[in-house]
Amino acid sequence: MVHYRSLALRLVVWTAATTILIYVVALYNDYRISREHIIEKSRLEATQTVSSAVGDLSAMLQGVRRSTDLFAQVLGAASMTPAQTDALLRDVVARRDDLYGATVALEPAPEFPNGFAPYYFRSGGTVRYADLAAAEYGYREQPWYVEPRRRARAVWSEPYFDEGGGNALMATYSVPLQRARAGGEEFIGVVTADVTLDRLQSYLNRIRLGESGFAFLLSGAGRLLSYPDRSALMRQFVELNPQIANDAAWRNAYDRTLRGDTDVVRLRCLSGSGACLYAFSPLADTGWRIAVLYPEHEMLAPLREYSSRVTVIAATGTALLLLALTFLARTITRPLVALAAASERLGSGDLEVEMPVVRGRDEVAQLVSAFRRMQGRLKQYIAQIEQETATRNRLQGELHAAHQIQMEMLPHAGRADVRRTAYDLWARLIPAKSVGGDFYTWLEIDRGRLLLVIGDVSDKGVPAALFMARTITLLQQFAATDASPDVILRSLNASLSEHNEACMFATLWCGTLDVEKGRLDFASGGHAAPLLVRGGRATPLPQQHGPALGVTTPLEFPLNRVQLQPGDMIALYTDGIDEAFNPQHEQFGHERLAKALQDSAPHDTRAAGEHLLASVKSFAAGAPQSDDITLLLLEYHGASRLLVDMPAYAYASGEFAAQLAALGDLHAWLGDWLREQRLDDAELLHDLRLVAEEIFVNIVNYGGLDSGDRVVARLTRDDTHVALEFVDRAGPWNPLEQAPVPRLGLSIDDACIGGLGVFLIGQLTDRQLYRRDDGANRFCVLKAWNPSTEGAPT
Amino acid sequence: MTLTTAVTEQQGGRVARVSLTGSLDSNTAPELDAELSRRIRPGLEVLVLDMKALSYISSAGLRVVFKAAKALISSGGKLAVANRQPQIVKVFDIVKALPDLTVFSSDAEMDEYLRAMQERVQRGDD
Repeated sequence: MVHYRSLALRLVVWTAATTILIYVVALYNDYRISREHIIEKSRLEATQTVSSAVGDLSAMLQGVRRSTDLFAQVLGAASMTPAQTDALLRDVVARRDDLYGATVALEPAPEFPNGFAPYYFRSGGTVRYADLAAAEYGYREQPWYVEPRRRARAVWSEPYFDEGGGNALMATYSVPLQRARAGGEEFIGVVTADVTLDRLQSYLNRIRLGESGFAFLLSGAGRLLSYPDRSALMRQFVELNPQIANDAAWRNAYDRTLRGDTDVVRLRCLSGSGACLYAFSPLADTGWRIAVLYPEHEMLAPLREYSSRVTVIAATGTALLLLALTFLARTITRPLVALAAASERLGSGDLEVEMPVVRGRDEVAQLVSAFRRMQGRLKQYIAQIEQETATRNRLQGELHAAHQIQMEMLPHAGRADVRRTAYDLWARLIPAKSVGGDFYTWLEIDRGRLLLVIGDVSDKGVPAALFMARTITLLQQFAATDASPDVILRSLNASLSEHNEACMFATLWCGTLDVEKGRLDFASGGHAAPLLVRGGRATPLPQQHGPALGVTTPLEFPLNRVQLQPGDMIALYTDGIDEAFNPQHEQFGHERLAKALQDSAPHDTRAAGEHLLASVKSFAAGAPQSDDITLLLLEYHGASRLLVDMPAYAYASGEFAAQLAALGDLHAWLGDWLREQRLDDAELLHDLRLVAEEIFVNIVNYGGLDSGDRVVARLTRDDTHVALEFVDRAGPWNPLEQAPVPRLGLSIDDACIGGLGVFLIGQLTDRQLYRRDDGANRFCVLKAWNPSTEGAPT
Repeated sequence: MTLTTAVTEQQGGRVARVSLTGSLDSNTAPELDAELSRRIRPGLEVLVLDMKALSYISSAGLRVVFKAAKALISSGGKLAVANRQPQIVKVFDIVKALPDLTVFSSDAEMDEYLRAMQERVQRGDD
């Protein structure tokens, strides 16, 4: 299918094609029918022409015959003197135009022994006289005299030139004169009448058929009695047109002509090409044949002229129609094209674009005015939306800021992933609205104690967020004290209950973990018990709980306690998880919660948390989150790997042979670690190497170890300090207490050289810890790596 | 961790200048101790430890220094240290080992001291 670029073109092309097709079919049919009609008509015309010519000629010849017959009867019946006969003859010739001449020729009689044959004929408008009885003519030998006598009836002669008579090409009608006598009739002479071929020709000349059509007369012997070309007279038609002999159709038609049939046949033209119509008929009792021959194409000439005229009219009409159509289509499509361009610009945001102007009330005008109305409404609507959007943006901006402020109140802003040597903490808070009422927090109260809190304020949105902010702020005050969870909850409840006209309340779970011992003390203010994941099973921690906070005061909150084992995970959550709905209004529930945690038990806290939240999300299956979701996971690794609790991310350990030769390895290991940690400060490197060497050398020199024994060194760091710990399996020896204290500042003489190493350790580090642990000495030092840091960690 | 020592004697054996390069730790201290023990004898008035290229010292190294100082004092000489890097200074400061040490903070200071010493000797000869 061709894709036209414009409606107008399509309209014009289709209309033109259809119109031309209709015209061609109509014209062709018209031509065909007209042609048949014309051919039929011309056949008819030819027949009529021929029969009319036959009629005319017959009438004329009949007239000649009748006059002659009558004259003969008169002469036969009445006995007239030669003078009377002569006078009558003269009178007959003078009266009849058609007659060229006439004679009465008689057998010699006593009164005219040399014969009697007066001949009157026309010449130069007068009737002249010739005496055929003159001896040299010999009229009694002439065919016109001999034939009627022989046949004893009237005959038409073949055409001949009457030498010495009329001196013209003529045919003669001769009637024998009989006189009754005893024993029958006696021949006494003939009466003749001459008709010149010119006279015949003048009749035939009246027949006009086309340009080159002509009629001709043939004698019974096939001689031409008349022909357009006079020189052909008296000759055989076949002789004139020898090709007839080679054309079967012509031969047949000519034979039929001579036989005396009447018909019209279609033949090849004798001269030139094409078809001709050939009409023929016998001419009364003369024995002559009349024929008409004319080319068919000349008959069709008017048809062709008619057809070409009609074609011109049709073509002109079509052209006019197409012009009109083009104009019409343009007037329709011009506004449509303009409208399309305007709509395009409108669509790309140009609301001020000018719509095309269309006069009238037609469909296009209606369309344009509909577009104009749409443009107006669009402008109005967009202005309104812009205004509403501005308002909403401002509100959203404020809510967003509030959300950020709220999130920043939480450790790691609601997305925590903390790794310590003793435990991992992972938390995630997803508010249902941009601000919410859930919260969590934790505080490393000192290096051995971790406070954990999760809570859920009644209601959601801004009021809940404000109440939550108040709760968190108060919590941080109370948590800073050394109070146990039940005491913290009691104090918090007392503060929240004051000035709580809105009757907001919060459920809250608060626990403290003794990192070293793994003991978790906790109290709950109406908050669901956390799940303990141990050995691949998730079960709620048994707990006695008090009421929600903020309602009444004073209240007591039972204190619960659980002993954690290395590998245990505690999952703290809010009801946004277990009460998450799916589109079928089913709850996620505790069973799915427990199963999701069990599924991911071998993983670490981050994998477990993300798995649980993904389970909740896929369960909700697109149902809107109805409540804030908070999840806090604590995985307890057991006692710290170092004597101080520090983050695990930088932890490194190395084993060294208990001999001085390993000192180079120790230095290299330390240097590599510091570079890895980007702590490549020359002074720090020097001090730590010195400290490491002093401790290591002490162990090697005084520990009494075998050279095959190993010494373990551990390193880690946090934002402020580097921790370095040595573990050896020598006998119990606490350098902090057992090393001699050097006496300094004395003269070199007096200076005690021993104990310098431990002294340097004390001077170059911020804190030193020793513990005899399971048959091992553990000596740990902390050194601030950031010169701006003040004070050592406890 | 290695230590390289280069010794030059000046003023007819009265001054020994020992340049230390590398680390003076528990492993390398015995070498230096042996080297210094060989050098310290009566008639050596000043032993200078040039620490320009010394990057590290531990308590073992300090003990060698103190021991050398002690030996020199008893043989009538004295020990000087020169060109200590800051971290070395810090360690010396911590153990407050300065009262009996002569300290040169630069080559110029050391050269000036040695030149003055030589002049004094020459005057004494006169």
